[in-house]
Amino acid sequence: MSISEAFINSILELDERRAIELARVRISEGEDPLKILEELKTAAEKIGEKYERGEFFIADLVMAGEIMKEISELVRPRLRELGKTRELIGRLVIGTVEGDIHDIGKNIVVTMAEAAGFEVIDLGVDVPPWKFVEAIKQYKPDIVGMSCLITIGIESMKKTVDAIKEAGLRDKVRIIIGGGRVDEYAKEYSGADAWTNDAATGVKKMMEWMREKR
Amino acid sequence: MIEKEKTPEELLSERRDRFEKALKGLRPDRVPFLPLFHYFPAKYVGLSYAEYSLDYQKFSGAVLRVYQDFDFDAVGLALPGAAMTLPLNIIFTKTHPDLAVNIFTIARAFHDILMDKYTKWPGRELSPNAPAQFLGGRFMDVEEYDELARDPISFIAMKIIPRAYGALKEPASPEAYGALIKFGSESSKFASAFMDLMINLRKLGYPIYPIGLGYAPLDFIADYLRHVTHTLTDLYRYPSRVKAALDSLTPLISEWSRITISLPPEALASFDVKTPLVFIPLHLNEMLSPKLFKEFYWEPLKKVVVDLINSRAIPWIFFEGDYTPFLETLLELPKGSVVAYFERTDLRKVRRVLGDHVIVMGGLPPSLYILGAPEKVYEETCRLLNEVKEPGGFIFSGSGVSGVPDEARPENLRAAINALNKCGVYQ
Ligand code: B12
Repeated sequence: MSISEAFINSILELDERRAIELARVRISEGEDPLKILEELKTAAEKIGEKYERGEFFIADLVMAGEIMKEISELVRPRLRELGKTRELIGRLVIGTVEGDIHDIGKNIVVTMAEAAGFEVIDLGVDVPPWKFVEAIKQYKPDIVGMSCLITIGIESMKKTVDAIKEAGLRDKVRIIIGGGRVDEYAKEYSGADAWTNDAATGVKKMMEWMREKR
Repeated sequence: MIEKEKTPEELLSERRDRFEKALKGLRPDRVPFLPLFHYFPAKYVGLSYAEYSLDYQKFSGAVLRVYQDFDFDAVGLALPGAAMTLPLNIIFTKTHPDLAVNIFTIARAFHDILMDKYTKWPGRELSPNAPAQFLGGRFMDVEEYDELARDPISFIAMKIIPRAYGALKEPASPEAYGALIKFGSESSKFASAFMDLMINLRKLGYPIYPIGLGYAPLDFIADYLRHVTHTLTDLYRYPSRVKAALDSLTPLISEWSRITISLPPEALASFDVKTPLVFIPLHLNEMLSPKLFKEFYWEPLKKVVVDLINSRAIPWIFFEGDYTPFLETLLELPKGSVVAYFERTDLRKVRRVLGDHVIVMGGLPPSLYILGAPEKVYEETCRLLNEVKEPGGFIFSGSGVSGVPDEARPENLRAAINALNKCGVYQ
């Protein structure tokens, strides 16, 4: 088994100690940090697939997310030292909508989108519509993601999309919504472009949008 | 609409029979409707959420109006706010069992007095029409699992409570003593308002039954001690510490839960339905892999549930999220011993896997009540009932999410009730 395979496998096995150990060794041996990040992306894709197949559960995604976060924190300073930057495939502004504080699902999306090569601006939880609008103005994202786990959030999503329209920014961004209380009704009502109950599918959709854009 | 020709007494006995039969797994005249509410009553009568969670008279008035204007079969849960903060109850299990059950923290006044860090409330930290938020938090370090395992009551009393309740941060201070005295007097105000509400609901013709509370031990750790996310990662990083803590928390939670339903015979006599129902909302159930689920979640929970069954109560378990992967676990419990209330699990699937092994409870997706048209609600309710009401032992909850969604359109709730009267009838 190559070191790359061993590295990816250790993440898929949620073997935190081994994954971090391997990342350390590779960095200290002067391996290209961009390669490590590429492999994180592969790992994230495989994790998403495992989740879709019912082999992985949410706790597994949370743990995998922790491991990937720790590894990218190890790699980032090295990248900076070398004056390199990772090529980003797009920019995502994401938040849990007003009135809602659930963030486990949103955090999984953040890690998976980052691993896939998105720059992610995470606005946190209970995010009012105006904050989404401000963030769109400031960061000019390609995509806006909203997470919603309680029913009051359905109205908040609509208000947010309306505020984005009012600010004249609706045609600048694609909007995807996710979370336990999201379905076709919620998508239609809020005026978002896509919905999902699964982070991996959501990230795939976002990557598809980025390909269309190019 | 309530059938006007029947007296409240007649309605009460009709509804009691219906509800009792369903609880026994039988086929009553039709499927009973047992609704749970957060803020729907506030919205329905035009109260702000802040008033609803602060003023017990207004809260009770709103709930009564809803039970007057709509036709249900029994009183589910109607509470003026966020989830209880249980650490305060649990510590009294051994020394003051009466306090372990009689103190509530589900209205804003308790938060104002104790300044707990678990919750935020409308009109205080939040705008007057935002629903109360239970945030939980991390109040315990990994290193402290062992201490928790050694003596959960002392650890929670001495370490967690001062950290989690602002007013009790210095237990021997005037602030803390004052807060506890105020808390005591507020508790009795709340209890008497709540009792009045029950009496008035009964006068409207709704049967009442003893209700208790239970908790999955791992959820207790996640919600009140370590925070959900940290609890999940602890299961991978420190499994033996979590296990040890669960081993000592489980008997405590089981004992506490049984206290919530231990009533003296004369108190029991005043209820219409004599079998206590013990509400157990589950949180982490859908998140764990089968291996973690079995060891860390199901086994401790099963102990609590079985102890309750052996105390002649009916555990009323709310399976939040999608429980499909674990449905078979319910076959480990004696037939007909629990009410299994499902949020997002497909009820048809439930019937296929479990048949009549459990009393099934559930409803439709919340978005349908909020955004759908009444015709659609009627149609979907009928479809659901036709597919799952047989072979009996089915209870309708409105929606899967917390019963009747706050934002449900009243005409949609009415449509669901009409559908129930038509398609919920057993031939
Ligand atoms: C864990 C939990 C909590 C934790 C949250 C911890 C945290 N920091 O997130 C705590 C205990 C703090 C909590 C608090 C409350 N909760 Co809560 N909670 C849950 C529970 C059990 C699980 C939610 C969860 O994390 N699921 C796991 C994640 C990973 O799933 P997910 O969000 O669907 O995410 C996946 C996809 O949807 C997708 N995704 C998610 N977001 C996005 C966004 C984008 C852009 C994309 C592409 C994809 C995507 O990716 C994820 C991975 O695939 C649910 C029940 C349920 N199963 O939904 C109730 C639930 C959501 N809670 C509920 C309630 C009522 C509350 C409280 C109000 C309780 C109270 N009375 O105080 C409070 C406060 C809520 C508020 N105002 O926000 C209700 C909501 C009812 C309603 N009105 O709609 C639920 C449905 C339970 C119920 N009663 O039925 N809760």
